[in-house]
Amino acid sequence: MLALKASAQMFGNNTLLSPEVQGILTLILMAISLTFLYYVMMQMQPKKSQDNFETVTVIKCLGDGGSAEERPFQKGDFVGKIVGECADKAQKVIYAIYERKVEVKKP
Amino acid sequence: MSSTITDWISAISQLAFLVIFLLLFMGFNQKFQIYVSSRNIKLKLGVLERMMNESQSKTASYMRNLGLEQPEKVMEKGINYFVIEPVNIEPTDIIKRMDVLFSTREERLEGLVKEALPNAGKVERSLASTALEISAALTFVYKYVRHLLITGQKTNNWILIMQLEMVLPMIIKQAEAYSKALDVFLEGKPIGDGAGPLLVQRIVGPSATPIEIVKDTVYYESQIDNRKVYLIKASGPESNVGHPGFAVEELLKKLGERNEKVGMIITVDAALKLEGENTGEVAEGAGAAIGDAGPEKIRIERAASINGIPLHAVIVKMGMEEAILTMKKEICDAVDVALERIKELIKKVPEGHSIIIAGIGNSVGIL
Repeated sequence: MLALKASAQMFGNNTLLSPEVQGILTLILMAISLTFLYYVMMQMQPKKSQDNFETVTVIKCLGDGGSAEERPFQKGDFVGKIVGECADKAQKVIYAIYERKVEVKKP
Repeated sequence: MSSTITDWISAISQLAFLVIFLLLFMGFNQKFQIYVSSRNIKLKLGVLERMMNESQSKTASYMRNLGLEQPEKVMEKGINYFVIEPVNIEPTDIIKRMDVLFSTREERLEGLVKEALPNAGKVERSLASTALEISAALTFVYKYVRHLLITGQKTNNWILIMQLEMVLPMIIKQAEAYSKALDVFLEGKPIGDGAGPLLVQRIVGPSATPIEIVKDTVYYESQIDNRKVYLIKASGPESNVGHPGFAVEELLKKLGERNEKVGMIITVDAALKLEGENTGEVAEGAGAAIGDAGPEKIRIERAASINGIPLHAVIVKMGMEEAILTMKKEICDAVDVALERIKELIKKVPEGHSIIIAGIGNSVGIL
């Protein structure tokens, strides 16, 4: 309303635009301002992360200097679990279980 | 015609201004603010309610899979279980009183799960117990936020509702972390808080024999740089933080009886990082790195001070969410860095003296 009055005073009674057009223009200006404000507020909201994560189980042979293999985590895995025997008869154990970011390949 | 329309617009706008002005004097703006804020809080309360219901149904489903036909009764007892804070205006013997309260709670909740799931293994029971605790936490958060909202609305307390609206995003974030943590625990994955137990496991390896020293807590013997090392951790791979304070105290008593000299105590724990710090940063300091309410920490401090043993702390920094969610690679890698720091510290101890290393944290997913 204030903007409406201000614009009416600015244009005066002897301008090219009639009061109705002035009112409509003011409303359009207000609509644009509100849309802009809404856009700015939307931009201010924190964006949700799109990162994907996977949990991997690292299996190591205790005897051969630490050669390691990775596979996806399976229920029942735990660090320190003996999962088999290596070629040199050393124990094959779960050395670590951790989560890492998955690189998403762009098409 | 046009002047008639402008006259009407002018009259209506003036009337509208007058009405708004009067409403402002009558406090309408605050009531409107309460309405808008309450609406926002109700929307977020819906999110909390969804998380609470999901956690309860997942816990019930886990218990059903372990053979319990009607988990609702156990869950109702477990979720509504409470602990009354001890009197703290008179702090004499408060640690003893806290011990009593905590052990009562622990035994009651464990007993509840044990009675309900007699045929389940130790690991499964511990996971069910943790799931019950997470469900209880989410239920409490939901009920408390709802309580504040209703109180604010009933008393037209604008400040209470505004404060609640402002802190709610943080509460939601923490509740989301708890909600995600439930899945992690039910799958038995190691969590960020397990950095301490993981370090112990790295030193001793999978074939070492654990010796139970106090309830749910084990120790191992090992050698680093020709020095005897005693390593304490919560027993794993079940979800369990053990009693490392009691364990250090008990171990020192045992070693004292054998006239074995202890040259250093090192506590290793996950610690909350400040915003801006990197996950997996390792830092060293003095004191007992343990985040309990008091009984465990004070035991380590007392044992060290009575015996005149230097007390060192090595921490692995991480966020609150990272501490209760699946261990991140950065934390796993940081354990090796922490190990190097510990080896440096051990070199300061004269040969012939033993060292106690306590890996503090939850041993879920770590033997």
